[in-house]
Amino acid sequence: MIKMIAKLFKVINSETDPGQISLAFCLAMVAGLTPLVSLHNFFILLLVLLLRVNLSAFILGLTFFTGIAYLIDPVFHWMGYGILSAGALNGLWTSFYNVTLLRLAKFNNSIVMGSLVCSVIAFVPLYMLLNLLIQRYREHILAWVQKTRIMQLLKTSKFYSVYQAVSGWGGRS
Amino acid sequence: MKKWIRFQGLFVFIGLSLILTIFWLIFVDGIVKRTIESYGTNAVGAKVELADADLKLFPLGLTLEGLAVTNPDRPMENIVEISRTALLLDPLQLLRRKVIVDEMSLTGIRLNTPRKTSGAVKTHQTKESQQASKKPPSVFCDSISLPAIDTLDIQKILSEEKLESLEMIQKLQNELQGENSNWQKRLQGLPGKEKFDDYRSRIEKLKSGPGGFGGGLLGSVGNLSSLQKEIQADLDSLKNAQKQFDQIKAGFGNQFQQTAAAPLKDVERLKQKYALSSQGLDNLGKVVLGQKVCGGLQKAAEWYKRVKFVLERSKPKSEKEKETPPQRGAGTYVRFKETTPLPDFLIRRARASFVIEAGELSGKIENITPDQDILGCPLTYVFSGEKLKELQTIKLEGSINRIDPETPMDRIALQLKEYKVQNASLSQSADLPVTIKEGLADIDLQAKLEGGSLNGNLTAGIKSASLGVDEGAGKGPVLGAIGSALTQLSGFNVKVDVSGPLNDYTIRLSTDLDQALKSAAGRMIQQQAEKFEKELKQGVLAKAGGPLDQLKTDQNGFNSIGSQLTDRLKLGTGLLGNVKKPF
Repeated sequence: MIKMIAKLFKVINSETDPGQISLAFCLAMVAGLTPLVSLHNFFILLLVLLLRVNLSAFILGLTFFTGIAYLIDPVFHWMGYGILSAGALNGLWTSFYNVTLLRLAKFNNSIVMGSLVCSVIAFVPLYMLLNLLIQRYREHILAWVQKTRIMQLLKTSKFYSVYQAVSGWGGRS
Repeated sequence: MKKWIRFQGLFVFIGLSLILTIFWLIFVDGIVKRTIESYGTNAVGAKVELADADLKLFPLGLTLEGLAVTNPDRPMENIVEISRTALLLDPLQLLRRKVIVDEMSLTGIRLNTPRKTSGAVKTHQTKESQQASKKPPSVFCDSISLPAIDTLDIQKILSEEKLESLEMIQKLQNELQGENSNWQKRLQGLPGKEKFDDYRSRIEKLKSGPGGFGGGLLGSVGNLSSLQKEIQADLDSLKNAQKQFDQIKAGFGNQFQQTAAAPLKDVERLKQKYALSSQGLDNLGKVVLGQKVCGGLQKAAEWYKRVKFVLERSKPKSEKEKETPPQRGAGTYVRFKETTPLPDFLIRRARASFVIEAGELSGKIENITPDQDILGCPLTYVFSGEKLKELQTIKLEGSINRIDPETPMDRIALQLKEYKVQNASLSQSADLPVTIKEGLADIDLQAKLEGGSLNGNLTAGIKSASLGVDEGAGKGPVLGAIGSALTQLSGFNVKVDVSGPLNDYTIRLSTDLDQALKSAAGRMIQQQAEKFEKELKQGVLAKAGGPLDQLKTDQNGFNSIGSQLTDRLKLGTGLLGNVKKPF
C-alpha cells in the first residue's frame, strides 16, 4: 500500500496529464461504489485498460471507494428503491426489465441503481475538481511542501526511500 | 487520440476475461455441487449430498450424479436417493435470473434407503418435521386399543380409579357434621326443658300465691299476661327454628338419595371405561385395522408436508420486500411486469422412474414451481407400472393446485390391483398383533384437500389371504376367540372415509371384519362383560358400604335434632294451655 501511495505521489508530482489521474479516480469511484461483480464494471475494467489512465490511481481509488460504499449502502438502497419505485419512471423500468442484457446488469437492484446513479452524477464534477486540485497542487503546494520542515523529516523516513525507489522506475503509467 | 488510448490494454482485458472464463469452467462444477448441497440441506433440514455435478454449456444443461436426501426424522436413512438427474436449462431465462428447466429426467429413484453415516443437522426444519410426525388429529386414533377385558383386575381398577361415590359421601358427611354442630349450639340457645320448668313453677306460684288468681286480681292478670307472652315468644322462636331445620333437612334429603345411588353410577362408569359395550362389539374391526389406518394417514401427512414445502413460497414477494430490510450490500430486487411472465423457478416436465419393492414405476411430473399463480398451471403427476414383480398394476395420479394461493386444492388418486401382500403387519398391539402372512390386495384411494378441508376415501379388498396372530398375544378367552376367528378368515374388505378440517378430521372405518369377529367373539365378550360388571358392583359396594353406614348414623344424629325441637314445642304448647286467665 505504501508503494502504491508513493507511486501515486510520484505520478501527481510528475508531468503526467492531470486528466489521466482524475479519470482513473472517477472510474474507480464508479467501480468502487457499485457492487463489484456487476456487468457495468466489466465495461469500466475495459475502459481502465484501454484508456491511458493511471492504474495506481485507479487501484487506490477502488480500494477507497469500495470501503466507503459499504458504509453508505443504506443510502444507496434508499435512493435506488425510490428511483425504481417512482411512478413516473415505471414505464421505462418495465421496458428495461424485459431486456435480457439489462436484467443481467441487475439494474433493478436498489443498491446497484442507487450507487450507479450517485457515481454517474458525481463523475463529471469529481473529474473537474480533481483536475483543478492536481493543477493547483503542482503550481502552488508542491514547491512549498518541498521546503516545509515536515517534508524535510519525511525525506528521512522509509516512505521517502520507497518513493525514491519508485521514482527511479521512470516512464508514464 | 493516441495520447488517450493504449491498445495493449485491450489484449490485457481479453487475457483477463479468458483467465476468468477458464477459472469458471474449472471450478463451476464444484461450485454447483456445493450450492446444491448447501441449499438442499437448509431446505430439507438434513444432509443433502451429491456425488458429482457436471454443467454443460452447449446445450446448457446440468447432470447430477448420486443425489441423496437424508430423512430429517430418521438420520440413518435417505428419504430419497436418485442415481442420475439430467436437466436441460433455458439459457436465455437464466440470464434473466430465472431457472427454467425445460426437461428433467430422474432415473434410479429409491425411497427410504439406509445410510452409512448420520445425515442429521440441527435446523428449524428438523424440529418442524419432528412435530409433523405426531399421530393424526382424530379421536379415532386415540381410541383404538382393545379393552383388556380378559385381564381386568377389579382390585387394581378400584385402587387406581377415584370413586365419585366416596367423594360424595365424604362431602355430605362434612356438611352434615357442620350443620349438626351448628344446630347443637343453636339448641342450647333455644328454650328447653329447664326454661319450661321455670315457667311451670312461675305459673304454680301465681296460682298458689297470696292472692292466687282470686286475690290481687289486677296484679295477677298482669303477671299472667306477661308470662303468656314470654311463653308464646319462646314457642315462636322454636317454631321458627323447626321451620328452618325442616328446610335444611329437605335439602339433605335429595343429597342422601343421590349419594345412596352414587356407587351404582360408579359401577356404570367403570364398566363403560373398561369393558366392551354392545356398541363396541360392532366395531371390533377398528381394533385390528385402526393402527394401520392411522399409521398410513400419519405417513401421508409427513409426505404431504415435504411435497408442500418444496412448492411453498414463504411470503408474497412484495410483502417480504417491504417488511424486511435488505442485507448489507445485497439490496432489494424490484420487480416489474413481464411481457411473458414466468416463475423464478420452474421445471416444466420431469420424467422419473422409481425403484420400489414391487419393481419399477415410471411417470412424469409437470409444472414444478412455487409460483403457480404466475404460471397459471397446477403441478400434475402421473405414475404407473404394469406387470410388476409383486403387483399387477399400479396407477398414481394427482395434482397440487396453488394457482390461487388463497384456495389451494390438492388431489390424489391411487389404484393398486393384485398387490401381493406378504408378512404385512396389520396391528402391532401387544394384545392382538395381527399379520397378513400372504394375500392379494386391491386398493383404491381417492383424496382431495380443498381450502384446508380434507375429503378422502379408501377401499381395500384383501383376498386369498392367510392371517396370523402372534403367539405373544395377550391370553384370555376373548382375545383367543378373536385371534382364532382372524386366522380362519380368507379375506376381508375395508372402507375408510376421512373428512373434515386438516387439523381435526373424522375417520370412519367400516369392514366386514366387524361382523365376522362379532359372531365369533361377541358371546364370549358378553359373558366376560357381565362377569366384570358383577365383580365390579361387589367391589364398589364393599368400598362404599362402610362410609355409607357412617353417613346413615350421622343422618340419624341430625334427624334427632328435629325430634328435640318437636318435644320442646309440645312442652311449651302444653304449658301455654295450662295458663288460663281467671275470666
